[in-house]
Amino acid sequence: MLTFILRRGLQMIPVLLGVTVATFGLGQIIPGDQATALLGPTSSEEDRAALRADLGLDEPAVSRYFTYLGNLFSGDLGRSLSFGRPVSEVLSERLLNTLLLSGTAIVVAAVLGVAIGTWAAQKPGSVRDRGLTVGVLFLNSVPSFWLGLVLIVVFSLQLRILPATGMTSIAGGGALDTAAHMVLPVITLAAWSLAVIARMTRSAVLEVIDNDYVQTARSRGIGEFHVVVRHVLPNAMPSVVTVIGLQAGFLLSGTVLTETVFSWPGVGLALQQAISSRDIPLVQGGILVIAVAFVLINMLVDVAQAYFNPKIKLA
Amino acid sequence: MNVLDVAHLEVTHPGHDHDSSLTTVRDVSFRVAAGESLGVVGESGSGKSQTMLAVLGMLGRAGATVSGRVTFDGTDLTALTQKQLRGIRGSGIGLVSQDALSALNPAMSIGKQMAEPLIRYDGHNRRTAADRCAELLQLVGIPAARERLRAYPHQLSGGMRQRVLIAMAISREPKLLIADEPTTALDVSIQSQVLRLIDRLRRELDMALVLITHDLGVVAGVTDRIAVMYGGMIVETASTAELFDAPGHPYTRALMQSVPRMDRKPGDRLPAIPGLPPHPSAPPPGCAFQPRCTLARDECGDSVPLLAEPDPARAGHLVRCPVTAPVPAEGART
Repeated sequence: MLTFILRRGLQMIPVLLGVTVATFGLGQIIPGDQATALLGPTSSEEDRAALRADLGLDEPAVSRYFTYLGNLFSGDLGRSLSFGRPVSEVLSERLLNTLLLSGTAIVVAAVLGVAIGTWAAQKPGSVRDRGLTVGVLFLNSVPSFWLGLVLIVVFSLQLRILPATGMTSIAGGGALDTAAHMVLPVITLAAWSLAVIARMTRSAVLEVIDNDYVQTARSRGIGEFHVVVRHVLPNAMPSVVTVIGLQAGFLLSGTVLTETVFSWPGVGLALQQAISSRDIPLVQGGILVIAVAFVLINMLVDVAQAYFNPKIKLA
Repeated sequence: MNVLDVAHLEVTHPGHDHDSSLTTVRDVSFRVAAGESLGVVGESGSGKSQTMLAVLGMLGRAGATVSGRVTFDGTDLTALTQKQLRGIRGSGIGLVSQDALSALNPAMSIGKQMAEPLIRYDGHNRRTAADRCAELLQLVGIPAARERLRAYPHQLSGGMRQRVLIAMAISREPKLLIADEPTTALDVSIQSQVLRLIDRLRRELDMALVLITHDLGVVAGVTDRIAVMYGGMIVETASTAELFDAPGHPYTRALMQSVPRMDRKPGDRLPAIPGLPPHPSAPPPGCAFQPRCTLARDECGDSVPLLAEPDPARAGHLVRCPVTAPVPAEGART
């Protein structure tokens, strides 16, 4: 297992390099001039040229890429133009908030999705199974920003039981206060993924549940709960884990919308602000962080696959 | 003392509407005495496996209705809840199913699979369960048993997997072992080894055995009695020697003729039974075998024949055929 993880880890290196090329290239193709964005439209051409030279923007793209890459290795993501602080600093204080939000959301989506999907698969065609199908269709048809706004209207503005925006109350508060602030954004983020995971789990469980080895487990007197947990789910997991991994990735990118709707101080909100103020170093940094997280999640998925399927691990 | 007593068992699967329900087992009755071995022979779709799954109470999930009485060791299984049935499965009745590759969980090492019910229900801890599993693997003739416990099913050969499955079935010392086509997925050379193993274990562990197969050659050496099934019904039952000596039902006779034999001349065609077995959705009227039977008469289509004892001198030899075994005036049995 350890060699598998190491081997898989080495395979990440070229992918990560590709990611840096992409984020760097993105900075190049975004229309607009950084110097103009910084100095404003009324600035003189000389001032802008001086700033470009100052920022190194007048050098050829290839050499700027290697400077960028070199800086990355030393943890330098450049300087945010709008915050006037290092991008790494801006992002690192927000990354934890984003991970808290998206991590909770994916755990909620995975646990509930697997549980609901498995539960529905116990009786295909039953009321609960049809209910699942309808629920999945509904949740997958609802755009997350709309769901977020509706939740705010209902729970914050009308029922007044949950806070609508931010991460803590103005007066400050402990973990419980933060948890209350998390409820609506987590629901918003998790809804889509939960539906996808539940549907995938349902079909994966149905595929496995009539297998001979499930029958064998039953014939040996093992209770239905343990039959499902020990014999059905582990064999249904490979396809479910793939979907959970994909959803975790989508969820990270989904934080841009959700964090904007709920003013959650995370990477997504920073990214949204950076894009509207043409803060290209911050955009690059934000996308890099999300892309690296995506790659890491994919690696975790592969490790999980190997855990559930001994044939992969030993191959 | 009968370990298993099945009386008038019927299994019906609901269809999409009332007309399309399938009756896969029809009025099946048989008994297995303690330590006895019974062979159940029939082709695919004759209801043999359905009968055994019904005995274990494992057809409920599929929505099938089971009627009749199944008495195991003095307990009426049809009256038990699923939870109570679970206490019988594995510990009272062990099941060996046919395809050992698909019957083992591919994601779990065989040691873990074997140990699971021992730890969960029989009060073993990890270590004693591992000891017991290694001992069981040794008993079924798997060398280097300790190391094998860590192996996954795909790392074992077909014969080895079948042995593991047998070891699992006997791990909780059941009184009755049901082996459902245990040799079908195996090479011929391994088949006889596995059969001898099952036979040996039955004697050593003093279990009763129900051996389900479509191959008369398989049951010949290891069973005391044979029940032949066709179209969801038992059409003949007799002691093994008796059945091979004087097969009564035309279907049994036809089956025997279609067993390949060494003493046939090369180039001879193997006799086959013409036609197809009946589909449970459309059973033929009267005797289920009548459309394919060479001895069929007009009255064979009138009503389902009774299981009768054609020759009082051969007690316990029952045949369901009015032609070869006309029901005697008195002493008719069902």
